[in-house]
Amino acid sequence: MEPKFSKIVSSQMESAAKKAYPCECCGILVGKKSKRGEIEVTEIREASNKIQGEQETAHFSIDPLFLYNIERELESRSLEIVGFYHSHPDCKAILSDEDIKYMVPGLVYTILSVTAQGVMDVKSYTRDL
Amino acid sequence: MKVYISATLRNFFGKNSQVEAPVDTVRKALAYLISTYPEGEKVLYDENKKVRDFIQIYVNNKKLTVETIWDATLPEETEILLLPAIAGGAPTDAPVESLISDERRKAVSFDDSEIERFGKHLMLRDIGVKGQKRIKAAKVVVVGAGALGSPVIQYLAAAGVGTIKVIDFDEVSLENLQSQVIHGTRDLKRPKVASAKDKVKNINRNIDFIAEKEELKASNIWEEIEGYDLVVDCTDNYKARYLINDACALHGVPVVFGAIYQFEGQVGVFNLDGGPCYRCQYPSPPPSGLIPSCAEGGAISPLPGIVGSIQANEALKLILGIGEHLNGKLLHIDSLNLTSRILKVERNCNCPICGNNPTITDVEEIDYEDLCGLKAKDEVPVEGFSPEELAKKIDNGDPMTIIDVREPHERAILRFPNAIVIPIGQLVRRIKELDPNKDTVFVCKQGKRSELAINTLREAGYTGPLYNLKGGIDAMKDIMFTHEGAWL
Repeated sequence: MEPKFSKIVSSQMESAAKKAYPCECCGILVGKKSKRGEIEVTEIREASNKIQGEQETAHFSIDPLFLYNIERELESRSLEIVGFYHSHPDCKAILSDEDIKYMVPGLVYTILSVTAQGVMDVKSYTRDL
Repeated sequence: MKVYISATLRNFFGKNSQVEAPVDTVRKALAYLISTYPEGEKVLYDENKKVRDFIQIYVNNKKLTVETIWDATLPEETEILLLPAIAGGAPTDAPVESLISDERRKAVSFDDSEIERFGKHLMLRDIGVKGQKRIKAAKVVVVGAGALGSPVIQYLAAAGVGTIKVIDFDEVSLENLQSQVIHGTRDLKRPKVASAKDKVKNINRNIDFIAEKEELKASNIWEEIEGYDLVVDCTDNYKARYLINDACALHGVPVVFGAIYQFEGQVGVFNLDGGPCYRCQYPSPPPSGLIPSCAEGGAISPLPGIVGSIQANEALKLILGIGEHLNGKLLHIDSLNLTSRILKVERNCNCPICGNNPTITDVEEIDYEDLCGLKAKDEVPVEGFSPEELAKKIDNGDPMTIIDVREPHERAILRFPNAIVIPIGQLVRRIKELDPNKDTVFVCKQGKRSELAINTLREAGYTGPLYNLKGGIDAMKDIMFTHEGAWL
């Protein structure tokens, strides 16, 4: 099911993608999951890309302990981590083999295709077990 | 010990955030977890019982990297964290989309003879009728009807490309026939595009073939390639390569690039889907004269056949949208040692044409003659003699030293009598062999390397008079041969 993004969230993701260009940006999607499986993204947490240097333009990695800390913080607010976003600079918003390899079943993976002209496309994916 | 389960993985472990496991090793803890929550097994392990790539195990906030400590005994207060690995990357080998839209494909139809003609394509699962229609709908420009153009044009025609435009200003000469298999003896002195057209029409007269006998320039390149899907660069010089790259990069037209030199060749795909351009890999051309062109350096006869065939194959794959392709890669082939390598070409953020802040926005802003060092530089003009002038000086017996900077195997073709032989690489080392009080004339095959030799010597501080043979021995040979009592 397509996740719903609030306007603020969408513009925050887009500006993060543009700011990081030509490198990849990445972050965590925070929101709510309803019983029927509807996902609503209410905020994002920008993460620093652990990958630096030449690889930075085509790879990203988030420190799992960063996620752990956010998870702990969210517990009290009845919000949860519903997925992740990252950008594909100069590339389509499609899953790469590497993306698929690291997909956790049930979570939303949002990809922003970004070029020097701005964000061209945004697509979300989930994977079944 | 305690096992903390990330919220992102909790659905598979009874929605629990923490599980108390009455065990003392990581391995046993995971086994306990799975025995309690059987559905968790598929999340933790893949079919080969390997921990999945997206699972990360931390022990007391430290990442567990080696499996060997899975069996180490740990104290009771140990906390294991089960976290997702969050990583990914832009596709490096994204599936190619066909350059031909579905609408254009659907507008194409075949008659019975075409079904028969292209049967071997139609039986390929990756091509089939749909693919063959894409090929027929495609419009391709081939620049250069020489060594590389020969196989490219013929294979594209044979494969069924519906519209082929060939641009070449040159005429067929005898030396072309060693490798330019699209031309024959009967074509000598004819425009190359004319004999290419004959050959293509002989293969398939229904192909829309456009022959342009002209030199590509900044002023005409866009009108020549506008409306075409793809450009195949079969040129043999840097000026044309940079011009084609720049125009195509600015207008988003993909280029299948090919080049040959002696026994080696290169093929690459540029300007495709935000991929790198030729300038990302080679920001500027080498100094004029340093790298001999194919015409000057020579090439073994079948080499352009190999390289051009790969170019044609890449062009067809782009039209079809199938397979791996050389986008962001450069294939290097060594036909002498039968090795090949694929080099990665990164997009250059600072590329003047396709980078983040491009400085070139129109090819007409650029003087390609100047870029490739083909213009005589104002500051250091190299003085030279025309072949006629040099012949006269030799006849008069004027005192001078003639230096031949060609390589030994080139001299074996045509010797320049009474010349001192100093290959260009040894020049500075052997500077003492020159007499600064005497006129020194430099000769090479086409007059470019000799010019470089003179500039090199000047930079090294040589002060004597230096002259260049304009046009090189190639320009001189006719004069000398017809000259009675000639040296040559």
